[in-house]
Amino acid sequence: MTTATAIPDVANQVQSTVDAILRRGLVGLEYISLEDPQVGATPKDTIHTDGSMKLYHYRPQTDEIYRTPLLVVTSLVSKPYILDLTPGQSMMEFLVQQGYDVYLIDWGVPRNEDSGLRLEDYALSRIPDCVDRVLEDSGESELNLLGYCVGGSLALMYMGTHPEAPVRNMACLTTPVNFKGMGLFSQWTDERYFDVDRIVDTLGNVPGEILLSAFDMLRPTGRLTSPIQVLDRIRDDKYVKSFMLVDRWGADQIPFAGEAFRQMVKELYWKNAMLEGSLELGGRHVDLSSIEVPMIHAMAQHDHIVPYEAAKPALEQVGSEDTEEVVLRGGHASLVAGGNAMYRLWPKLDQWLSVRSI
Amino acid sequence: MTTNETTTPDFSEAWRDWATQSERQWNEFFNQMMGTEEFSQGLGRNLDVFLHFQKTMNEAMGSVFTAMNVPTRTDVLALGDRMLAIENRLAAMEAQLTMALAAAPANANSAAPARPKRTKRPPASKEGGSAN
Repeated sequence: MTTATAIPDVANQVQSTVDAILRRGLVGLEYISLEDPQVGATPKDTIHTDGSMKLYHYRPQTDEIYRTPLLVVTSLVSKPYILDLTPGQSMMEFLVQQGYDVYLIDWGVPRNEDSGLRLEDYALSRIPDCVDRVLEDSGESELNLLGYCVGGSLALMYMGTHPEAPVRNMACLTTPVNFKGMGLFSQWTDERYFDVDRIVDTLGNVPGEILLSAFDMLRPTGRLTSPIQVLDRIRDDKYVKSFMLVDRWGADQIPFAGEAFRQMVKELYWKNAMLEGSLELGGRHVDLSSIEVPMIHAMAQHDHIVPYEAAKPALEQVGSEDTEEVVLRGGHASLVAGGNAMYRLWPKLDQWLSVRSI
Repeated sequence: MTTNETTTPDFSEAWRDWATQSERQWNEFFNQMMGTEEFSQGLGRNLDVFLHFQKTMNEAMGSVFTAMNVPTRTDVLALGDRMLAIENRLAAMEAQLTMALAAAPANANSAAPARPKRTKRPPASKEGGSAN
């Protein structure tokens, strides 16, 4: 009689799933229809600007804060609100509530006049300026540095050209160093077929749409299977909310400053200069081995944008003795945002940073 | 003899497995295809065609706008540059003002909220970890 009893069970399952979908559909519509969802909402002040770049200071939310301020360097490739996704699921909010004095560099959306920005403008001019502003604002003599994705690479370029940098500790999150390990990206930018000069000379900045297409091509079935994943976890409110916000973030692609893109392709993809130790910025040699501060590097097991092979050598290249590699479940975005990050990366980061911030 | 315990086939689990495996297989298939030299070559060619079209369009539109005595994109960008220069000068003035205010003697009427003390220590459970 098992079949007879199974049928009502299946019917109940189907019924409850349909109910959940309908309920979620209504709530989901709320997220989908929001023109301006609440992202980047952790209270903050802009304390410095340079062109489209802004330096934020997050308002402390605890009675006491750690002595050493934390400066976050975000990626050039995407908007920084992935680190401050939504209240309750925000890495910035988490850090502030743990008692860190947090500053963040938002590179802004490159405008046409930014097409001449080069990697040295970011790593040798803007980051040092922001470091000075943070020290001035906090009244401290040293800070901790945290870089996400290409933001980590820029932070390494800064550190590799400033051995005297007032940085106590450094945290990198899925930071590429070995650009030959960037999978399809390194294939598609093949020197023989990829005319980067023509792209930059014609377009100035590389449009966000081109970059978005390239990211989408890394996971060709992503647009189809993502809704299926949501359907599968339709009962999980937190998951659905964070999925929709992360998905929106993924589609909210910004352009890449033209000259920096040209340099990135020629120096990092073609010559793999960061890994080979031959990178020169503004006439200065980027010497990663001169970086001796304690360093942690957190990477994602299923990162299809910055694969493990691309990120792993970062700790091997630096001269630091106190290093820690962490590989966590998740992908490029879910490493830092959403439910996974909340229980994996953030507590780990807090554990590592807290004892180094006093 | 049957018991009251029944094993309902878990359709959602089967569906999840199938979807995950299918996604992996299709992605692998496409990634292999897109990882070939031929694909990179084709991509480069397509990009060249697009850029050629874009350049031709830009030039043609520029001529049209000039003939119509309407500002071209280049003219608008030049205005943007001048706006940026003004923004930068404003930012520099703002920074100087902030520094001057910070250097001034403390003002009892200041609206700036007091900052918390920088004395926080990690919970005892974390202090056992190594630190510099």
